[in-house]
Amino acid sequence: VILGVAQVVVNVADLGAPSESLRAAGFTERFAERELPNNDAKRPLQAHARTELDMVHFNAPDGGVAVELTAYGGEAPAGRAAYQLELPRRVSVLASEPEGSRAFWGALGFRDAGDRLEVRAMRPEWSLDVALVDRAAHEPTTVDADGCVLVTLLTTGLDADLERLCQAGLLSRLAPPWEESIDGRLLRVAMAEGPSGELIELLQPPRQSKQSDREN
Amino acid sequence: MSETERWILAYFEEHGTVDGKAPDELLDANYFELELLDSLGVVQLVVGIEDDFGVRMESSHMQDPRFCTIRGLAAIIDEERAA
Repeated sequence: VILGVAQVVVNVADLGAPSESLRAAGFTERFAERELPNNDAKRPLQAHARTELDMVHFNAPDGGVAVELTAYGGEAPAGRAAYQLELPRRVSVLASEPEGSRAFWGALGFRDAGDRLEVRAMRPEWSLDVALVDRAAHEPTTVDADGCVLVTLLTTGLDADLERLCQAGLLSRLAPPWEESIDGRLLRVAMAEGPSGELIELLQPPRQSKQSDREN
Repeated sequence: MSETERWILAYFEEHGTVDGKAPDELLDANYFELELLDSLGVVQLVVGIEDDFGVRMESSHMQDPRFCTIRGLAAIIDEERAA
C-alpha cells in the first residue's frame, strides 16, 4: 500500500543558495546528510557516474510537500529533470505517453481528477497533484539533472509495487531495491521510470524477514 | 488497555515524540494532529503492525477515521485478526 508522498527531490549543483531560498519561503530543515555514498543501483538513471552526494531535507510550511535538495559530487548536473515543481504541492510532467502515464500514476494510487492526477493522503503534506502536459521530450530524464528529478513515495510493499508496474508494462528503467540508512533509519529504496520519463523513488522500512518483503 | 493498544503505545514511546504524555491521554488523541510520528515513522508503524500481528493493512484502513488514534487503530487491527 502506498501511504503518500514523502517528498519531491530537487537536484542542484550546490546546496547553498537553494537552501537559503527555501528557508526564506518558510521551509524548515529537518535533517542533512553529507558525503553519502552514491549507490551503484542508481547508475541507469544518472547522466554521469557519481560517487557521493549531499542532501538536505526540508519540511514545507502550511501542509505543502516536503522538499529534499540533493547535490551530487563530481560533474555538474546533466540530463533532463522529469518535473516542473509548483509549490506547495504540484508537479508537471512532459507526457510523451499520456495514456501510459495515467496508468502508471493510477497503479501508484493516484486518482484521475481530469486535468491532473492526485493522491490524497492522511496528512496534507503527503498529498501531491501531478499534471500531465501533452508534449514529447526526447532527452532522457536523470536523477542528477538540474531541477525537480524525483517524486518519493512511501510504501509498505515496495516489491509488490514494482511487480505491479512491471506486469502492466509501465516500467521503462529501474534502479532495483537497495538498503540505505537515511536520517538514522534503515530503508529499502528503489527508483523507477514511468512511460513519459517520470522518475519515482519508493521507500519502505525493511520487514523482519526477506520472505515477508517479497510477499508484500 | 488491550494488548494491541499496549503494543501501539509502546511503538509510539519508542519511535515517537510523546514528551511524557500519559498513556490515557494518548489513547484517543489524533497522533497525526499531534505530529507524534513523521511520515517514515507512520509507514514503519504500518509495516511493524503487519509483521507482528500478521494482518494486511489496506488503503481502506488508512481512510478509516479510527486509524488516527491508538484506540481506533487497535480496533482495526483486532477486527482484521478476528476476520
